[in-house]
Amino acid sequence: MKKRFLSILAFVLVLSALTACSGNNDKAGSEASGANGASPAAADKKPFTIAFDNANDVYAYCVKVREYLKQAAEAEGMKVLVANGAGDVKTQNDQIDNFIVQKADLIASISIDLDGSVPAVENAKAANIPYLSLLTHVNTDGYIYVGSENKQAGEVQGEYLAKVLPQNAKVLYMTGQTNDQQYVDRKAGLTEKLLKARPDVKLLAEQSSDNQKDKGMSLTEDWMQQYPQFDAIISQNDDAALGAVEALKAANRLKGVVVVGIDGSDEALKSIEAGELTMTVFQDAKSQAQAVVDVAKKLRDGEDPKSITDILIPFKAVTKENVSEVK
Amino acid sequence: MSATVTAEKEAGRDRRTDWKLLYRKYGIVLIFFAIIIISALLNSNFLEPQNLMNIVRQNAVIAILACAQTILIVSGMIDLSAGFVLALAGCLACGVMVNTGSVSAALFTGIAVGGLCGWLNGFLITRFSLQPFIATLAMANVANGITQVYTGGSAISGIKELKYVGQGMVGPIPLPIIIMLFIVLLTWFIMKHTKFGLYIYAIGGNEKATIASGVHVNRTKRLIFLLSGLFVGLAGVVLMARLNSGQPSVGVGKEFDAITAAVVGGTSFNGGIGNVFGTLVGALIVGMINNILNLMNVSTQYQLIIKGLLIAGAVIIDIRTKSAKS
Repeated sequence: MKKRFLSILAFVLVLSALTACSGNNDKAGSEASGANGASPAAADKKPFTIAFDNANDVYAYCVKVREYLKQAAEAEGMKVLVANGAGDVKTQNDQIDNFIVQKADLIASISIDLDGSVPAVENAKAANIPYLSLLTHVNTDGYIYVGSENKQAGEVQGEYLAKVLPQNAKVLYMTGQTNDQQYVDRKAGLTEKLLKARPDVKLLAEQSSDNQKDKGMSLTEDWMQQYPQFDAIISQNDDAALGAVEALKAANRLKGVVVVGIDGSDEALKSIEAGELTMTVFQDAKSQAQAVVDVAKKLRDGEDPKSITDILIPFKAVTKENVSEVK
Repeated sequence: MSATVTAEKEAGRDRRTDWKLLYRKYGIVLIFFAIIIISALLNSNFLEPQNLMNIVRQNAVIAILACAQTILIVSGMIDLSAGFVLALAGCLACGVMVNTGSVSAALFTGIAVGGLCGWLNGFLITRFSLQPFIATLAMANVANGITQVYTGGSAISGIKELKYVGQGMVGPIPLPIIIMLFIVLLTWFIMKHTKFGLYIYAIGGNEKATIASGVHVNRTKRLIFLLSGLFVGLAGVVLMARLNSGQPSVGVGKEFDAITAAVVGGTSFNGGIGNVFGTLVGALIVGMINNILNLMNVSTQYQLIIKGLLIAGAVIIDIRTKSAKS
């Protein structure tokens, strides 16, 4: 009996954790619509509704984009509807169908799947509602793309390193999973701007860290055994780069080694402030969200959706000098 | 005269038998040394003391997880939630550390959360007759979800002194290695020298017979899961401490690394067979393979292929030596 009670208690705890999460979403939705009604800026402009479908609320970055989008849209007196696709493309497509029924003026979605999201775009097109795919591409045409290109993230790393590395520098490259398009794109950018532009720079080794901090740390420990001297560790994301920093710190070899990542995660920005991580490539959530609202403004002013071109938000290099600007 | 000859023959056979027994029992250890020798020949940095220390330190967390899986697999069960529970326990421990500043509170939280998840696994399995495979898969999802909600997907930094649990040294030896050795010895003691340990082997060997002989099998299973969960929680704290931050996504696939270590170390999926020293050797074999491939800069794609083949090869040799005619 006691055990049964305990187990029920445990399940209630788990359930409450889950419902607390979805409860937040409802609140976010009603807040957004409430803000619209009260917004004085909207008085002289046509009402406009942006329906935003998140890929998954568990990703910190996607939530950041959503919050910036709400702020920017409300500043323009627009109404924002939000939904959470929770990582499931079918759920997301159903939610987008609901947005169509609600007659949103623009559907902005972090499309979950290259192929699976095609029906959502087609349905929106059939209902004459412009579809904006944020951050991700869809395998069809007739949508507006807003995002940042992975190849450029690699290029920003390469340009920075080409500038700061000494003559005949030796570098180590830790990558994400090699079956991922992101790996291919980021590597292409780095190769072009560093290895081709600076033929004197020698790539000692390339290994996958799966973009995980623990694997980045172990890999760096192994590298320190094999290579007595190197000038830089280049990582395809911040987590693994921070693992390299931990390993170098523990071995007292951080000094004189340039460590660069990609993402601009909170932990990475803190590490840059502390003078440990040298540089990261920042993906600009605020500008991405603003670009969505800029598209919405054009549509509200009566511009033809077909004439609106894709918007690429550039990645930017963040070092100790400018870290305070992005925090 | 003839009696003496017979005795000598007997003695000779005994000697031979002993050698075979040794071979059967310690085949995996021979493979272990073979890999060391081959690695040393391939790369001169391999035998550097610092490198050997790195291998053990990098695999301490996997070895602790593998102790947990060994107990479970020997008793005919498995835990597929270990990786995600590890992340949950580790992140909550980091959260407690950041908020209270107390290392002992953080350690306690991590271990307790691991134990609770483990016990719940055992409860689902015994109370509702779920397969361990399914129950722990469900737990994996729930644990992952709670971790993501709690951390919002980003790392928890600023864990201050807690990092010494993962990065500290006792003299020349890293603390994670000492923790790992303690857990291995504890597991060995429990499995070989307690009645509970006897039940672990009995349930895995023949569950019905164990029930028939009056052992409270369900209670024992819950205890097994509780114990393994405590190990998983501890492993989570050690891992996050080593990383100097709570990493929500770092547990992915760790349960399979641990299961691999246990199976390479001679633990049988049929239950009832396995010992924790074999598991430790198994974890180190996998660790050495990773290390030598990194030292030699074998590209990632080929690493996967070579690792897979070597693991299969090690297990095949181990099984063949064990089933060799005595």
